[in-house]
Amino acid sequence: MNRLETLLHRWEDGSIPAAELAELKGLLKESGNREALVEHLRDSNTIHSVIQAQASDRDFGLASLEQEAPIPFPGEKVSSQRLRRSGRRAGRRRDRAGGKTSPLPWFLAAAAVLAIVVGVRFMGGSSVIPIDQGGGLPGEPGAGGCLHPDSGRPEPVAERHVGRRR
Amino acid sequence: MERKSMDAQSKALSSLFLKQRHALQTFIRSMLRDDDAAEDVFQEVWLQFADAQQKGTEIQNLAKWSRGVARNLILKHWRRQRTSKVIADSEMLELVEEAFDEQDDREAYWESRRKALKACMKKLPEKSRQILDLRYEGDQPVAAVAEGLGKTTASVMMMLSRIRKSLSACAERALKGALA
Repeated sequence: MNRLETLLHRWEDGSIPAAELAELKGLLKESGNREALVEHLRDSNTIHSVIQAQASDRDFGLASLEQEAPIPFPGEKVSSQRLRRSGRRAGRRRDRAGGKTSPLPWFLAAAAVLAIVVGVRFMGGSSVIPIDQGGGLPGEPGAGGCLHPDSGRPEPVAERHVGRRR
Repeated sequence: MERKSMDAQSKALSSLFLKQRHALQTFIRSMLRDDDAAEDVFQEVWLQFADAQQKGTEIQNLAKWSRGVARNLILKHWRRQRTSKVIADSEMLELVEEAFDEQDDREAYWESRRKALKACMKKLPEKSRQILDLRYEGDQPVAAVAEGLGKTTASVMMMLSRIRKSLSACAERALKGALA
């Protein structure tokens, strides 16, 4: 390694003492050395950019793998850091793998409850369905009422009971 | 008609700016040794270039003009970072600028060399590659690399120099082969 090369390496490394920096400046007064300086710097930049690009590709690849990685066995503990890194998707996968129950979005849960309530209220189920076998006035036996479960006779609407849908 | 000609001129200048970006980035990086700061300066040069184009400023030598803008931004950066280690002074900056000025007409050669070097890096033995990774991936100083490898700083510096020489020779061979 010649003197110029040594000084260039030290300068590039940031470990050059003031006296050697002055020596380097002296050497760079010659145009041939200035060309060597450009060659050194441009090669450094190329090496640096190739290595940086490959490192970022590798990091990106690792990040993608991390996204897929935390699918633990049922009951396996996943570190919070690992979960944080891999985002919420991993948490959901963990649920499927036998961990906690997956949280249903609140609006889906609310919509489901509302649908059940509305269904029960308007579609029947536990409500009384008039069998309309009577023909009498309201309050009289058979007037749009239903059959008594024991006697099988029509009973007044006012005494409707909860019966099964027919 | 005049507007069309100005647009074409502007496009040609932008294309030229992009062509010489590696040289400009090298110049900036060599003076800052900080990737983020170097990127900021490079982008600022680009913005000033776009501004100059909008104003219709005449730029005779784009590479030299860009380095001039970059030099002022580097000096400004140094003034802001007074406490950090100084890696160069304005005299060194001028010498480096002069060195780049002298190579402006050889941009095609440097670009071919850059491509050849990239190809040569793929052929490096694993051990050499690891040393380069340690040195350049995190911009670690040679002393830190040496400590990690359990070697002396001088021996790592020597190894780096040998690797660089072999890469340079490989690139030269590839360039000669391309010309032959």
